[in-house]
Amino acid sequence: MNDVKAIEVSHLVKRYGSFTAVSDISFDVAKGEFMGLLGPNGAGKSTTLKAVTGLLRPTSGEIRIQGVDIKDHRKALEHVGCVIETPMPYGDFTPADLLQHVGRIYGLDKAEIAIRGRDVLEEMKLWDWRYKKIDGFSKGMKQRVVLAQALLPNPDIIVLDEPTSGLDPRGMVEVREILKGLKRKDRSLLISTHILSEISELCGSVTMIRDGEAIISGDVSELLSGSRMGPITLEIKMLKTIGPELISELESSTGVRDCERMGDHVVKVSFMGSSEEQAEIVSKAYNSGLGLMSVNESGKNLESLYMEMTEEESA
Amino acid sequence: MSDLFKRRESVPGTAQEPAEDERPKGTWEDSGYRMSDEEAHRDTVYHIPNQFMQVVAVFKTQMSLYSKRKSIYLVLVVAVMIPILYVLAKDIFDFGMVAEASGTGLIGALLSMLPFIMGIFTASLCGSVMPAEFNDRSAYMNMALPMSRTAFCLGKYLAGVVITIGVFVFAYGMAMAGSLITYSFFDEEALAKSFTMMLLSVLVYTSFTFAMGCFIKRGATIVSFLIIAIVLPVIELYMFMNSYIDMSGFMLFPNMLPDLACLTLGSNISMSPMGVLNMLVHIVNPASMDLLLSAVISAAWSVAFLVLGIIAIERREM
Ligand SMILES: Nc1ncnc2c1ncn2[C@@H]1O[C@H](COP(=O)(O)OP(=O)(O)O)[C@@H](O)[C@H]1O
Ligand SMILES: [Mg+2]
Repeated sequence: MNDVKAIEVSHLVKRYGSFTAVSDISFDVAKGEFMGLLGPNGAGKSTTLKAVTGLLRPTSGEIRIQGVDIKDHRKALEHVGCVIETPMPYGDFTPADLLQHVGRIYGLDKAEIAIRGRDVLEEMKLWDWRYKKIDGFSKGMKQRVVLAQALLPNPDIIVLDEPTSGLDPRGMVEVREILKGLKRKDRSLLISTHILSEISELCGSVTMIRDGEAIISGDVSELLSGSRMGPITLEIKMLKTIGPELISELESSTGVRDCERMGDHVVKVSFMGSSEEQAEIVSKAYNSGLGLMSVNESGKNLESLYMEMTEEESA
Repeated sequence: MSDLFKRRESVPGTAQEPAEDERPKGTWEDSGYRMSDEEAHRDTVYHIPNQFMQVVAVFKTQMSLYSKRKSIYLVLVVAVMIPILYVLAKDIFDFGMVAEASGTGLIGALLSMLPFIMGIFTASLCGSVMPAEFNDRSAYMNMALPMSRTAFCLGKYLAGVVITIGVFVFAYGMAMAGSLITYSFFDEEALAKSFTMMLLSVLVYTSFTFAMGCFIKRGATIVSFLIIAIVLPVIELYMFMNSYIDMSGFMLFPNMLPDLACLTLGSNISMSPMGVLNMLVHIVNPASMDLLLSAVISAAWSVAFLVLGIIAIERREM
């Protein structure tokens, strides 16, 4: 039971007529994992999250939440709290009214709703506003009201669609602070954003999507620091002339795709693999007895890739 | 790093646990009590209630939303005005012109606004309820909750039915009160028949207008009012005048029920196309209508509209 994924999305496709908003996206979110969906506007983030929360039907593909198919909407979402497309809560209601409504649907009794309600409202800095009509709230406050609603049942899984979009800088900071407070044991988060720093501050892993396709997926710190995206190039410079023995030895290493000798002293290794494998290559060069002078690493990381992606977007 | 369900700071003087009986059992007032971490982190087991309880939950919420609507109070005020206006008007206006000179006939005359108000009230109350969910985007919250859309729709619909019934029962009561000022006797059979017709018409009108709100995103209120209160009656009356249908035809089109409820009481007038026609040529006679059959047909129409509306919402992509 323990290895049941919090969220599994496999081969999700969503078409609107002939337009494909999401084409064959797969990823999963483990228990306790914070996963970010990163992509420019129109990438298909909201569409993906709507499919995950059952707001729309996938054209094809399968979605499971804690092992339960989302088609069984009630059961699948029992321990999920979500904020999709910045919903506007009932303007005539107060935060207390709204939490009452949501709590009843989750099956919390009256006392439980009030206790948990106070908790989330305090956390959202809305406690003093609990009897005020939501109509008069600022955008940031409304966003915090819907966050409070999503967090009321203390859910195991939280799904948030661009929770800071449309907020002023102050509101953004407030909401980000709240999001950082969401971490607790075994809680999973799936959040979409077009802001890279939100992912790097909050998430352990990321799936980057563009034009409805997942282009990269992996561990955020690794993606940000290393060049773990596609093959990287190691430019190895030796003191003595490089012979065919070293070339063949490098070529036979795991993860090496190609070796190219550039003159007598330099070899370019195209590599894709783990950090351990990369270290293995460098130590082979070092142990060759030819006098390792330097290793230069070049390739794309998350940031440069995302910049490229968004530049294309605005061009 | 703050944890959501941890207190960020302990409030001075409240650090120690209060005794069991001091604990607020679910109150929105701040008693200074703070949950201990264990409690806050409790893996409180809650279970999604059954579908029926979720319908009840949505019903309660919708009743609470409706209770903030001014139009409901406006209609109640209009109903309260019925006996008052009667007292003011009875010496200067001959009610015998528009209704049988009897207690029951007078009730009918006093309720002559019923068809119009039934149409406009249900259209604005029930016709707007689903469009409002989508336009105000609260639907994005509700439909991502662990609840079926059918339960959601049913709760919303039933709240509209209950409010509408409440309002019109109140209007009947007020009209009877007005009538009691002059008469002390009612034709109970006609009154019961009329009252039943009114209840049936509430079902038909609420489910039709609610379903229209499920089908069309904008203008459902005005469109459903025009269809049920103007367009359909005009077509039906045209068919009736040209003998394509007879009295029993009106049973197939239960949108006429509010009119028939008035006419059954012995009034010749109501604020509607049928009322106008009947005032001019006095042809519609509801006495020959089979109430039981009418009830079955009305219920069938209501269920059909409701089901179609719910299907539309179930299939809606967001
Ligand atoms: N209901 C719809 N009908 C047609 N196209 C849609 C619809 N919803 C979204 N799209 C299109 O699908 C693409 C992805 O949209 P969305 O998931 O909202 O992107 P994101 O949230 O990443 O900005 C966009 O190009 C958008 O225009
Ligand atoms: Mg979006």
